[in-house]
Amino acid sequence: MNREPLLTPKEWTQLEDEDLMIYYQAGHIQAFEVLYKRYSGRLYAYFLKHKLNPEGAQDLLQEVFARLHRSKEQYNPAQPFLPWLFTLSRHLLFDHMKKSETIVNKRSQSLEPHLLQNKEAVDLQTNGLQDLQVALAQLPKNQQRALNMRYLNDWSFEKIASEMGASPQGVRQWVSRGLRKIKHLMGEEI
Amino acid sequence: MDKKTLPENQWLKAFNEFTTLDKIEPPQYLNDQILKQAQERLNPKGSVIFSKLLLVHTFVGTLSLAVCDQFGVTPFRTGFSLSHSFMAFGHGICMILCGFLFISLSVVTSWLFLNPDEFRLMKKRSPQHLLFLIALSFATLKFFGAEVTWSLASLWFLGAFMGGLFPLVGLPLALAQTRHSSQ
Repeated sequence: MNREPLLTPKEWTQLEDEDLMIYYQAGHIQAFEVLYKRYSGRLYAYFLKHKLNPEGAQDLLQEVFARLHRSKEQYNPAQPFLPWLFTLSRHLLFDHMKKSETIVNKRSQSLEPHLLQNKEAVDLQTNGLQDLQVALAQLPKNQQRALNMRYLNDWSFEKIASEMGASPQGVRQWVSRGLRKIKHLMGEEI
Repeated sequence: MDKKTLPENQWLKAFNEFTTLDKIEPPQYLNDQILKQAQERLNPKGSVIFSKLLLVHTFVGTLSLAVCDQFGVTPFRTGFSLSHSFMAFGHGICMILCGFLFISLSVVTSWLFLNPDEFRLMKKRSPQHLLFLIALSFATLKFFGAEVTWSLASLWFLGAFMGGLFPLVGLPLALAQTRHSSQ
């Protein structure tokens, strides 16, 4: 069934995308490697062009090829491969962008009860979502993670403690200090 | 996907832009990581595949004893067994059919729990997997009191092996693919 075809590396690179997909469906990693080399650079450029930061573009690139793997049996080799790959990638890009938008909104909403308790803080919401992100980025990593898990994922202190390998009390301190520091960085009184 | 929800010309425009983009090479560590992941996904561990098969067989094989006991072994008291009907064809045929049913039901059910790559590898390694599964089943049945001569047991082995190969070789991989495409 899965006999190794007698192809040289050069011959692999000369195959059409659709033929490569047939080999990929049959379990040949060489076919995937050629497809990856052929399109990873263009996909990466495409994601960067859509204002994704390099980290986001890299995550998405990884996701595209993971999805390609999961969907490979659905691909019909009688159809051209590149439009299929593009559609799949574009779909994931839109999902990613929508998700990022939701995260930013949710983050601002989640922090609201804790940060936005006075007039200045209301101004902060209207003026400074970007400032908030900048301030968050300046926190130590453990505080950033703890705040994200607490307000973005809505996790309990116990769950965060278990995830981060710390005590719940320690996590409470990180969250509390993180919030204070954000207020401070954004020009509020502590 | 997009093609259905966006105007065709908008999709075409985006696609044309995509095809004319200058490449930007992703970092090497990412390339290595993605290729490694692909390699792992294409070659799932044999132990994982066999464990899934064994788990399915433990459940399905046990349930099958409700309708067809093996060497008289069954935990159920249904008062019914296909083996009685099979006996009409003779003891030897009965052994073959019982073995066939016992293993084939489990292999068919395993389709639901194996992804296409696992299924492909199971097909590739089917003789090893099946022989081990059948031997393990036989040992378990013996443990629970099966009394059988070696000549009849060998016919049961033959039936079980054919029962395992039939769904793997005789039926198309397309069923597993259909299952995944509907997810």
